[in-house]
Amino acid sequence: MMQFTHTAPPPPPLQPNGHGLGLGLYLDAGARRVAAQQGWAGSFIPSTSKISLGNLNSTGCMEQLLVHCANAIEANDATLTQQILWVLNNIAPADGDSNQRLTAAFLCALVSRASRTGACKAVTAAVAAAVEPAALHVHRFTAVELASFIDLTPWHRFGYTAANAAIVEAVEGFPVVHIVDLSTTHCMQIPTLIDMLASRAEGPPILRLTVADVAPSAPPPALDMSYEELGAKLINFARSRNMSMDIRVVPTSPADAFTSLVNQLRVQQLVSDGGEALVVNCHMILHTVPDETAGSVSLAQPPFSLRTMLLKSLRTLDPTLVVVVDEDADFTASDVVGRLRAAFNFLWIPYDAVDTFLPKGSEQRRWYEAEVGWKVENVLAQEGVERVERQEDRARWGQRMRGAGFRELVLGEEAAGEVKAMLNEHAAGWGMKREDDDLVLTWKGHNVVFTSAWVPS
Amino acid sequence: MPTNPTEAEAEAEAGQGQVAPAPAPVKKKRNPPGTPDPDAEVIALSPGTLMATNRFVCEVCGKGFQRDQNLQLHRRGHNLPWRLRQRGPGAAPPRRRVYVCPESTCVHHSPARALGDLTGIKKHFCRKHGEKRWACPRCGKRYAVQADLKAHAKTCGTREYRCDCGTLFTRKDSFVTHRAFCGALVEETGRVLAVPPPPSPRPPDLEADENVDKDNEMEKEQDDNEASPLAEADEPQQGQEVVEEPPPPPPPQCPPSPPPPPPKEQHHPVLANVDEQDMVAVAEPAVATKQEEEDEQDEDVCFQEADGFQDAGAGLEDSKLLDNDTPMLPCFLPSPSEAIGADGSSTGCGTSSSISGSIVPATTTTTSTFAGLFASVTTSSTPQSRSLRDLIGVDPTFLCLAIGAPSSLFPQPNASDPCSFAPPPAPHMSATALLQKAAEVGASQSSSSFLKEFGLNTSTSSAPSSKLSQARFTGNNTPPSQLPQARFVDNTPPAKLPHRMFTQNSAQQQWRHRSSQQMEMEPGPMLPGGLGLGLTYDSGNPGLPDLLTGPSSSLYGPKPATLDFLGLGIGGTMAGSTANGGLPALMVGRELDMGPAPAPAPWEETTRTTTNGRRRTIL
Repeated sequence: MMQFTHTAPPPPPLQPNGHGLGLGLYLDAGARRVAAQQGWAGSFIPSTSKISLGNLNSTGCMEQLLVHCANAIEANDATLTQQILWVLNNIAPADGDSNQRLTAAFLCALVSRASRTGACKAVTAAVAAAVEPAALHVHRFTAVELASFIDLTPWHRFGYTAANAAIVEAVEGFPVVHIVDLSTTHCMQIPTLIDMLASRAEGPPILRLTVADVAPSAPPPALDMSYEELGAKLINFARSRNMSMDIRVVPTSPADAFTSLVNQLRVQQLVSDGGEALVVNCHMILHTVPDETAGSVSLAQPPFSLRTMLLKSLRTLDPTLVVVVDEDADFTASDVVGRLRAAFNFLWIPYDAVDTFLPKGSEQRRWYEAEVGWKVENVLAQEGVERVERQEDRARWGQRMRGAGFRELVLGEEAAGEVKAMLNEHAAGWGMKREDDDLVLTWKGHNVVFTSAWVPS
Repeated sequence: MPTNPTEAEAEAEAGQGQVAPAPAPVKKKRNPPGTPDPDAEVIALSPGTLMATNRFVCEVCGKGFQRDQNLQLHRRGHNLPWRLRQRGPGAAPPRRRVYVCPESTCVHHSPARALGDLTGIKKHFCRKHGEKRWACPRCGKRYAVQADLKAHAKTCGTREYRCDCGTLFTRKDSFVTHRAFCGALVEETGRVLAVPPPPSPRPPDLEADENVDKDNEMEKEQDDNEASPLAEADEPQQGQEVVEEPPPPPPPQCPPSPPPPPPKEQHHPVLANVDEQDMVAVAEPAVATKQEEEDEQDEDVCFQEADGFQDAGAGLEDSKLLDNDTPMLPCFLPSPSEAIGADGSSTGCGTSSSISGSIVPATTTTTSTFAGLFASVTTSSTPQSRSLRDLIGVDPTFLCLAIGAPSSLFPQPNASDPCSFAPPPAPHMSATALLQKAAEVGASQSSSSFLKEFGLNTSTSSAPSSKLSQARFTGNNTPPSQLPQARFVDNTPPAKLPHRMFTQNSAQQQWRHRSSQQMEMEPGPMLPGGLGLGLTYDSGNPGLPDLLTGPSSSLYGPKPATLDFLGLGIGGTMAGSTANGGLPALMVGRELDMGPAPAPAPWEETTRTTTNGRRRTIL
């Protein structure tokens, strides 16, 4: 590709008409090392190829640059980092096309990482000053706002629809339905579930809802409302559907595998009469439970992660149904470059999708992209328990569930049909396919989110 | 390009010569998509041809036709030689033609899945691989083929759900979710509680029923529910609305992205904001009105800003750049969090433009250089060509690194006075913003001394300077291409970025001066490698952490070369490095815009600059 040498030929001549002439960009990891050792006394020179501006904008190139940048940061190579950041900064404006936006988000995350790993006190102080407001600036949705925000894409709605269909089918005949909603989306799934349960043939059941309140460490979206208020609204809504409902909010945390929640469920189970269907609905939250790579956690014995522990303890509750909805990606690589690649090759999807229907200046789009940006930042810049975006792919979750003593249910035609109908209302790029027994949401053929249903085996 | 061998054709012809009538009815039957008659002639048309509206143009009058035969008929009118294909009784009936999609990844690219008619392939190509230019003004759904939009418009809104708050939904699940959390429900059930509960769950499809119920109640409570007029509209009326209102097909060229102020402003709220507002209105009327006011104010700000900006732009006749920028302005405005006082922001805008006015000569030089290189880029700051810009992926601001930035150098007195900055837009505190914060920490400590050191512009004394930069910062949200950092401001995810590299704004004024002064002050490290990228810095301090050091420590300290990282001081630095032959390849792009300007040796330049601070930074 290119090399750094110490002979310093004059810079390439100016080509006033050069449509093919690009920003000369010559980066190579191998050469970089050499050059860095030699202290960058000379300049580096175009040797063989140039990446034209056109190519520079390609995703492949951007990914390469980001990888180089991450490597440079890991190697503590200030100069190279600076240079690549400069280039990236120029080719990836945060208001550019979807790829540029994606890259800009990664760029921010890398800068954030660089500042985090930096040892300099002054920086740390400055960071601390800057970070706090940043956290405050995550948009806090009102419930109504969040409802319409969630509906922008099928990202969440896909899981809701498929899960609801599976739940309604599983709890058929039960007079009391107990839903444990483990979710990062603040009960946005529940109204449609209430609606479906309320209109089931044998009449509405009594609905018990247990909500995990993971407030302090919750990933976005953030809700501008307490769960008590939210619960009141849900109860009110259920009442309007002629269904009685109660709600219990349990403060808990994925960092300790929802121990307090599971314990409380266990106690309740002791007193329940058995006529109750227990459904654990895990919507995009299981990946926030520390996995094996999350480092030492005192709670878990070495061979087991908290993630395994949680699934096993869910199994002991003997639930009627466990629904697992999560993103079909793997962000568990221990090295940042691996995660960068994985995230880059997955998180282009929201940018690409949102580009099809929301205008660039739109507020919702900003929220949407800010949320993705949060995710990127978490994946790249955070380590240890701070890093909660630890997605695993569908197959891995299947293994885990089976390992914990669950058997997979086939999501029925009903679920598939509802999902298809829902997807018809969205952009043409969304699709659905079956993989094994799961339903998988796709964007332009790429897996996005999977839904799988499990029962104790 | 027929892919079928000619022998197939001959065969077909031979066969048809004998039994002409027999295959005819078969041919009438339309093949299902993607399973062409194996004997058919496969035609592959280029995307250009497929998208062309008039492929056949009369050479006399220039009139275009979609079909050759129509052109031939037309030529007959000109008394030109014409040629109509005639199907005599003995002639072979035309062979069936099938068309493949030019998109190589498409299933219909393979001749085996070719589509049976030309219109079909055109529409397919448009729908699947074309831009969806036609948006439904009602629900926002987009279509690539205008006919699809028309078809959609007939049904759009007929099957929809309406909340009592006035919000419309096309999907039941959206409606149900909204309904659960909407304040309107609270009212309803509050009343319901007094009355016996509804006998059965209301079938949500029958919204009309509900609306009727609701209407009665609404009449009583109309005073506090601004949505009630809407809610009162009964279904048929609504249907009429659809028919009457039907949106003139959106201007084809209108890009969705940068909404030009007035029309979009209307369109937008209808989809999103108004809804929320209405909902709030139901719950808490007081808040709603407040919001309304805010919104209005927002709009005012919008227009005022636009006006101000345009005025300013008009003032500077030769500031091409600014003029280009102007149309883009609105798209950065709508953030409600920037509901700054109208005067504040408009002055901010006006100021920045007038500031850049002062640097016009240099600016134009730069742009014109680039004009050749990136003609499209330069134009791309106008909304029309914005998509173009996306296409080529070059951001105009790229060019502006050297252009916009200097404008902050010499703050006009009024630039700082209203301190027209609002807290940065909430959800995406940008990298720059964060960095700036970081920089501020240091700047407040050291900038004054630094400025003194270089005898700079007294108006940027320490405290104002940090403030000022911030003011610019938010002000600059609006004229995006003016400043490279503006784009950072706008929507970078909320990362925590204390990185100074991007803090162009915060300390850029200083940096700029600094970097050119640098040549003088520290010839040692600069000269050998002399790179604006701060290479010299590295030689001293290889550690990354140092790179990230806040301005307090190294920024104004002994190794300011780093400051030039973003090429802010390029004028000087680049010239210098060129002279030294030590141009970092990374900087090539940068160098381009320096090209036309005479590249003085850094020493010359700095001496000149000390006398005239303004010019220096741009050269």
